[in-house]
Amino acid sequence: MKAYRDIATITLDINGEERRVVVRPADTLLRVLREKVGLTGAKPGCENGDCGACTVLLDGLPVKSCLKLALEAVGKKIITIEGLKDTAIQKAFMEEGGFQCGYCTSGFLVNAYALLEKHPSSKSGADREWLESNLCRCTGYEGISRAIDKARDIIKEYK
Amino acid sequence: MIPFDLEYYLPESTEEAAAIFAELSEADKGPLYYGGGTEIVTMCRQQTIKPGALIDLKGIPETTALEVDGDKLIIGANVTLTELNEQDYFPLLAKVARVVADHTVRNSLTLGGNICGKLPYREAILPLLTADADVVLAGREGRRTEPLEDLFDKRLKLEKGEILVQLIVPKEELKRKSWARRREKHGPVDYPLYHMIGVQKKDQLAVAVSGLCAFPFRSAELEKKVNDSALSAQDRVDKAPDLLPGTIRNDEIGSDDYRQALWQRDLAELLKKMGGAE
Repeated sequence: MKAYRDIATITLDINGEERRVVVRPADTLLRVLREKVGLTGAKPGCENGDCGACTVLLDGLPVKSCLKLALEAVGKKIITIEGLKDTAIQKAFMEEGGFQCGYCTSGFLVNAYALLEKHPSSKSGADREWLESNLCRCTGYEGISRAIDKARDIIKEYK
Repeated sequence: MIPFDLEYYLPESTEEAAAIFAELSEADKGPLYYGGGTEIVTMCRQQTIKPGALIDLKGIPETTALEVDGDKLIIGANVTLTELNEQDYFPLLAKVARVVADHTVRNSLTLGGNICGKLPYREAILPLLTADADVVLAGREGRRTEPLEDLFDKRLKLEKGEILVQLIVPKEELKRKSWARRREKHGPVDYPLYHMIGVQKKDQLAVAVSGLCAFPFRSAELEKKVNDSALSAQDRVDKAPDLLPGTIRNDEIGSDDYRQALWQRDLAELLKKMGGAE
């Protein structure tokens, strides 16, 4: 049985790199990513599991990192927004104006990336269900929706 | 951020988990069993709970099982609601799991966490109540399997330190004709005004409801009235509120009158759709 009674050094696999960090057992993954590793792309919005600005991938699944202890991520592959550089969805968000102030964008983008991995050909009706996990208070959702459609086109073209 | 310190344990068996729970309790650490964490992390951040230790049960393989074994479906308590949504064994459970919280929360939220949580809704238990599921529990005294209906009265009545390991559903219950209606005030990602399911079991309707009262329930008295063929469908609907096991919730999401009126309308529809009407 693994036991963490106090501050501990753990290794996290983040964006394909092993990062050693010192954590309290109570530290959330969001806080460790931002404050210990310096990856500030995942945002603290509500820190209540509602807004989705903190979304990261854990073994490919989008999760809210404000609701995860960092210790739960040991042995799993973590992908943050910083790990999605030059992806089709990033390009599509820029081209379609899928953001305004940008605070929610990293969460939307990470979730949309996972959506496209799981449902590359659309028409499954999954888009709305998946993206209801994220809130945007600026733009409305049209640009974001267009960006996802565009990313699908880019991926199809690339293949 | 959780503004206090706690310890974290990751046992690999129910025996290890129960032993460390006992040890931590003895040491006044106020341990809590931990599944997906969606509720516990939030409550720790808000400091509405302050456990001294969390015992994460996800390292116990049998709690993540999801398989048919002979004439029963075995569902580990740490199966996530996304996994339940994506399985084909038990369509009603998939349907109910799909509307709890939102997609990325469901990637973490476990069946056991939903059932044992502090929120009044605990919607994932509804299909298990109507399916006459059994629960497998483990603790310091060993292991026991009990009918869910015997242990669920407003909440799952576990002994101190006991672990919800699995839920077992008889195979004949998995694909029964069913009906479900979830009402929300604002949109699908919201707590429900109520969530009602109806399941056709031979010539009887089984009914379970969440959100209407302060706890989810399946009530024998209510079902008796709902299935009383001596009464008209309208009479059954009219008398149903008197047979609820608690008062109708009256809160910021909806008043008791509003909830009752909507619920009676949906109960009438349930009777019509499932053949329980005259």
